[in-house]
Amino acid sequence: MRVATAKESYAADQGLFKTDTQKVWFGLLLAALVLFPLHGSNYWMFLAVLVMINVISTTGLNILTGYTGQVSLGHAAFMAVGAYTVAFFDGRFDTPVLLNLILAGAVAAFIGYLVGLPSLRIKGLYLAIATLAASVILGFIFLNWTPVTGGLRGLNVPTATIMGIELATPDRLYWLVMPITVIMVLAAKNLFRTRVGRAFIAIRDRDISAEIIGISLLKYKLTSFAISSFYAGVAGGLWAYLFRVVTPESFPALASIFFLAAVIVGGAGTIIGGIFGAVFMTLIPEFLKLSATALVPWFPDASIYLAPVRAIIFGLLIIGFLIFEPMGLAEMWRRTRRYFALWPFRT
Amino acid sequence: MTRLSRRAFSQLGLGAALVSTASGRAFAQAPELVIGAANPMSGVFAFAGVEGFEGGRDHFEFVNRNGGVAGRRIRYVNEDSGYRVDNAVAIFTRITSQHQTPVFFGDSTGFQKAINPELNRRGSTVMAGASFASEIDNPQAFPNQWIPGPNYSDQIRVLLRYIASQKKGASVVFVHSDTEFGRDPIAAGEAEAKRLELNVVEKIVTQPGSVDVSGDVLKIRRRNPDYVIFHGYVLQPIPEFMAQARQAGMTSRFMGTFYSTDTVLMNRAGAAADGYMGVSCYNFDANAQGAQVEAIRAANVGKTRTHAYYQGWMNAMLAVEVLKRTLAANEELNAVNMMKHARALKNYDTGGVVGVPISMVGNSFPHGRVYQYSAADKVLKPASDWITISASA
Amino acid sequence: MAIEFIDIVETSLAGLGTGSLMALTGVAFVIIYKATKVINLAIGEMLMIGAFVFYGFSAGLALPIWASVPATLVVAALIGGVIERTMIRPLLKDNPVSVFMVTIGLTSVLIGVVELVWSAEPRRLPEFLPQQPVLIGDAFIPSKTAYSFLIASAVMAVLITVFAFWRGGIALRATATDRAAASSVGIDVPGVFSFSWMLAATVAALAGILVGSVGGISSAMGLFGLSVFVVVIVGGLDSILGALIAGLFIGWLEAMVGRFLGGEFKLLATFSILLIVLVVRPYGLFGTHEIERL
Repeated sequence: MRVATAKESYAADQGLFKTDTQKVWFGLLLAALVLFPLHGSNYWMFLAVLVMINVISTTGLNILTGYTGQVSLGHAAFMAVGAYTVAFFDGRFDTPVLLNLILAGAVAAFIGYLVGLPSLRIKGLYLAIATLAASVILGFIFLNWTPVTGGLRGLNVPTATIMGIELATPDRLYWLVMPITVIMVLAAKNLFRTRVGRAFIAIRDRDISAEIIGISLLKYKLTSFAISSFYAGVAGGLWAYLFRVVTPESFPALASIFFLAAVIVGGAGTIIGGIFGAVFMTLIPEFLKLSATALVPWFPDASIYLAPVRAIIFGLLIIGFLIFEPMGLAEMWRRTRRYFALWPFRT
Repeated sequence: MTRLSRRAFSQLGLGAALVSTASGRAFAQAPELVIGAANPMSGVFAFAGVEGFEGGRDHFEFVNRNGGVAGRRIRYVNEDSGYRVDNAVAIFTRITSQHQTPVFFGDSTGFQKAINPELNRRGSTVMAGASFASEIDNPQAFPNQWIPGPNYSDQIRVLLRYIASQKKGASVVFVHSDTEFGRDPIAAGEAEAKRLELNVVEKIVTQPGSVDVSGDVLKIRRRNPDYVIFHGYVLQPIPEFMAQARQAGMTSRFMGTFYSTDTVLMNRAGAAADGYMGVSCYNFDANAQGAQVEAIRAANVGKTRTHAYYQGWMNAMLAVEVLKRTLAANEELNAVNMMKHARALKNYDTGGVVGVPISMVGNSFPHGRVYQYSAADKVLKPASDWITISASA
Repeated sequence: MAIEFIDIVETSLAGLGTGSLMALTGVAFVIIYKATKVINLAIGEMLMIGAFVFYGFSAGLALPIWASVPATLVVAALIGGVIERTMIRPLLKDNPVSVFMVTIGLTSVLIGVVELVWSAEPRRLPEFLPQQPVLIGDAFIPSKTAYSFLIASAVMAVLITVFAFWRGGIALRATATDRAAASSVGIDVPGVFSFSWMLAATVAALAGILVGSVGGISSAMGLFGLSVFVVVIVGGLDSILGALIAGLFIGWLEAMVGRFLGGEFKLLATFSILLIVLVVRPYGLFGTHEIERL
């Protein structure tokens, strides 16, 4: 049972991992991530890569919506920007993979900056609606700017090649996606130790008060949009390397709702919540599919009902978590940890 | 005590492992042939997708009941793509990473075009599907795909040639959907119309499945074109369009390509669809002879099947034939070998599914005929002989 | 192809017809917002459920129209009441963003339910409106559009009058302004909540029946709600009159853009208007300006 975590220096107090236990668990996590590919199944490797891409994107949205309080209904459009950027540069100019990903993030960040500009005049739900409008307009551009985006047909993405090694299959792509995911999640966690991160939280909690104590609302809101879109852009770029086809339909409005649900279900405002949410939301459709296949002996048509059942469960998850567990899976996790930390005393 | 029970436990474990591998070996005699598919089981094309899936499934069950392919069972792994390219790509990636998949059925023109570079890179899978796109009917650009019938441009050519034979200089309107499927044959259609000296007065583009066509009907109401050709839809908005056009006083004759030449669709549209003409390569005659159509009838007692069902069955039949030939020649099941045998299909007897023996030309089987719908009899009747479509009449 | 004056007239009339339906749905939205301050993103899906329930009664059970319509409205009111009681009321004391996100979840649930029961295939409603085309001079209006316009206008006129003069309408406005004060003068605040959602669901269902009869029904009908959303923002979230005027305008605009520029530009035009209004005049033409306090 942990009694106290007393620190003797400011640096130690502000550390990312405050206790030895946390450091050990993190080390185990890294080891697990490195050893995971050894189990061999291509199917799980594919899922793992998809989950990690969603973790990056959800973390980005969490920064904007969970930590800064700006609800965005257009997150998927920024992923699409990243995906198209990667497809365009790698396809047209054969530029290196890492450069493409950085470009994807940068272009998406720029677009995110533009989309955030109306936050000067509007806030709250009106801003959310503006982000929705922005994503519809971006969708229109993807569909019609044919010389760059390939129009209705979309773009094909060459396989990611790093130092001569072709990352054509999920188990190889894992080694690109996993380090990037770990770095970006740690960077996000670190963001909230800095002045910028604290400004975001202040804006979420009471933006008028924040302005009074000297936090420039416009500057920090735009920064939040830009950072969140950067994450989305990188995630979109990695998505492009996984699927190798980008079309205007690849990131529909439903995808934005998927990420919003991931943030809510996982726990808005915590990094671990972003991870939980992404893992949970990505694995639910897989679980449903497995159930449908298992039910075939009794319900031969089960697979036809899969899509509507998925939609219903998806909606019920959002509603259920908002009513019963508004702080998400992260809160459930915290409760569990507190139980074990305080055992044998009750919470 | 502990040591003994641990030993006993590990012995038990070893025994269990031996038993399981032994029984596993007994079942592992004839590895299954996995055929993967992404079908639109939900969404705007579900009407065709579900039927296409069932056509394939029923045919594979029929084949498995009759000994499979060279003694090997076929396992049909299908997932719902919702007619979205990224879903279909994900399904393709997933199924091919789990199983060795010599044949994969795609759900749409968009997907089959998009996955083409990846398909060619792998060289292990051939593809066919719900698409009859003329762009895919190109062995140089699409070396590992085929389409189970005449391509859309050929289908429109057949319709236009019919129009030209009925009325010189007739006015025609194309109504097509805003999808890869819908856009595929329009350019070729316009070129053919020009060649036949027909007058394409308007092209209307709509969202597939959307039923709000009142604005579009208004557009062409006063023009009252002689013929309206639909393409790129499997159901809506065709019945709605026809009903509103008749209500608005238009006397145009309606025509459509493959997917809309469908008894179930016509029955839904009712009286407004009387005289609708369409193109198909499949034989809808309820009394047709042939081993395959008899199997279809046996599997569907009391049910009317749509066009898409026949397309699913046809693709399955072609896949089985290609697999049979490749295995019989003792060749490896890769794309090159399988397509070689597919292209060697000449005067192949489809057991009644198509009215004439078929041969592959390019990537397609350019045979078909014109059907006309009779609202009184609620059935599609042939309005022409079986045609082998060529570039010019 | 020459654009004739008659084309413009015909398209405008068709646009006003659609616009009246957008306005009607917008009024349903505004009723909810006026009473509970909830931005209901699921209004398009509530319209869709109404249309499908009507389909179930009139086509599935083959009931005559004079029975199907009231049955649909009653069922819709019940659905609205259930939604409010189970999903909305628990969250009304919290952050408005939470309720907003619940309505997002609700859209998914409603679409899933419709697809589960009726599949995603678009269908047509049985014809119950008179079929002879309506001609104003030389201009042709599809009959269903014309009659929908008349019915929608009549219903909206009734609603506007009722809200202006009836005590219940005043109670609604009081609850919207200050819940605590309304409660302390004896207004049954939870009752107002339930009533507003039930009424809105009924109006949306009626709009759904009309939209469905003009354009058919499908699980993608909720897309209509997106345009309605723009309508209420432009008109003002809590203004019924605003919804009416903005609805007619946006309907007219979409029809003109669709006719003369192409169907693919419709949504772009609507959302561009939305962006402009949000930046220039966020509270809409007739909405009340929210003053934020610390």
